[in-house]
Amino acid sequence: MANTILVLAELKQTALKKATLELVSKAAQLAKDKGLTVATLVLSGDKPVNLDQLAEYGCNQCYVVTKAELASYNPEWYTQAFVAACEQIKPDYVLGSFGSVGKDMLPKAATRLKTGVVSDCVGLEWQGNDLVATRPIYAGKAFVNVMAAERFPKIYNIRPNAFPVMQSKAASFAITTMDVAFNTAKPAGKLLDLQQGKSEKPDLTEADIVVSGGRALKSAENFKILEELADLLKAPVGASRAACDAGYRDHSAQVGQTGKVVNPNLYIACGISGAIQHLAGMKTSKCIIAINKDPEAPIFKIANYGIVGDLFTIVPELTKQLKAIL
Amino acid sequence: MKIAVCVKQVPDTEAVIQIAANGKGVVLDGLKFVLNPYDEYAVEEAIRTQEKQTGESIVATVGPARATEALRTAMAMGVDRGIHITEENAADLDSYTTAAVLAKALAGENCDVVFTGVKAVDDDCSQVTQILAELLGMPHITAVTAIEWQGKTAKMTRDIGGGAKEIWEMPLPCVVAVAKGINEPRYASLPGIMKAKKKPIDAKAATALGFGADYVASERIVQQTAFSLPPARKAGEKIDGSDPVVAAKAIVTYLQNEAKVI
Repeated sequence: MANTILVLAELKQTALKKATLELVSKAAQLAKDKGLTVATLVLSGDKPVNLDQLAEYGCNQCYVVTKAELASYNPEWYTQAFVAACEQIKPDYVLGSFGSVGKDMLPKAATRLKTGVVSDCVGLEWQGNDLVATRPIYAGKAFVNVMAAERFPKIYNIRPNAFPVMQSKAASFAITTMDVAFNTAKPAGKLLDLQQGKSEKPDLTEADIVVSGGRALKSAENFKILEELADLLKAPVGASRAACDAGYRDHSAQVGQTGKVVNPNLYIACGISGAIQHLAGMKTSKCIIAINKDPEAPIFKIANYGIVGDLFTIVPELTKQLKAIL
Repeated sequence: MKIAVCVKQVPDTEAVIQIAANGKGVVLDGLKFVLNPYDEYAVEEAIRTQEKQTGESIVATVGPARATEALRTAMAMGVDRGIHITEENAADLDSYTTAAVLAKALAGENCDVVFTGVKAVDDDCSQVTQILAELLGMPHITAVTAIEWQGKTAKMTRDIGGGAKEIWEMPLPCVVAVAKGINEPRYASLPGIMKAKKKPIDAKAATALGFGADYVASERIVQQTAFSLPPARKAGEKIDGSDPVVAAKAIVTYLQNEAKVI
């Protein structure tokens, strides 16, 4: 139906991810001013659970496509399902999550629909009747406002944790199953195996709290000090480029301009001096706590709370005190 | 095997970014330009693939005249030849148009694999790989950290975050965005740099590929309207942490009362 803002949902197994609720909340806020219908599209292999909760966040309509081909993310089958759904629903706007699925698939799907995607939006507001997105460039050293041309649907790929989850009960809510016929002649990769991460923790880019260490940790072994603190806070551990290059952490842990860009509510930086490139990866964190021996470390210029001291004594003590109360 | 790698020349990550006086762009004058850091991994992977599989390698870019330097860097590392689609207003190209130009540039090459980096560190869009693949009619895969060639297919490891990895079987031809950590990019040797000066670069404008003279504006799907600097982040409180017990207690209090995470 026209005048619909459609959220592309993402699941963790059969449950909706928090990022999806963030998008529905934002869609509901945007829809309110313009009388749009808020819809959600759920693509999965198994029947998803607990979709009724979408109504609590302002969703009017949930479309569910349950097909074996969608059991795990595959760019071609997910694109085909998404394109077919858009051709039926005809949304004006689509909100996706700039995480490992949306980020990978939406540019491909948009091209097939002859439309475009705005990547990594941290702001999305009406200017008159136009939706204007704000997105960081140069790893957040600057911001740019963008609009998609007169193509539909206009697709906005939104940074996790950019918008809050907000409850607003929908006036009406219905779930509709949708079927999709796949064109299996299209060339596609085949998923052979999935190796789960060792921890249950969220990815750095989607985490609420991140504990991060720099080269001052001096060894991979010493990062255990940060892991203990991080485990208590259910946070993933990040690292500066110097720490990764020195082999203390895997490259996938690097936070910075040439690593991951994180947007948590709390970023605890331990022994990180705060090079421009590192700041580019974490300075949108709502709250930054920094522990560093050097009172002149650049990180103190942007930290909300700075502690000039030795991380090797402070962090274990912090872990000990938190254990007592958490 | 015919191997292509698409690269971009970008400002060095040390650059202090300023907004143009008219608010409609970033000041590029006076900046130092380099081969996009993520593309170094793609170039290295292209060269290693050629060393293992034998064949021919091509490096392609869309950019202003100075972007030739990025091609020479790739060729100094070992790529055989370059394609440079010249566009002085490359800063105005959106992801779609960049990919459309590269797709036309590579159309006649019939590559077995096209490598890219995961994103350019200036616009951070992470889209060209997927759009290029779709326009070339090839499947794509992003964030690849390991590749095992198997003739008409390749086994690839993909990093999906949170420490999890997927193992994929990709048919050839395909477009592959390689992640940092897939390899250690080599430094260009002096003989390599000298040889690169003589390697061929096919340079032409997008109009030679069939695009209209005003394609930068007419092909564009995503329009940048206004540029701004981020709100300045002010320094907060700084305390003396010489007593770890006192310091830890202060942090706990801060986490409870100010950050409100516990």
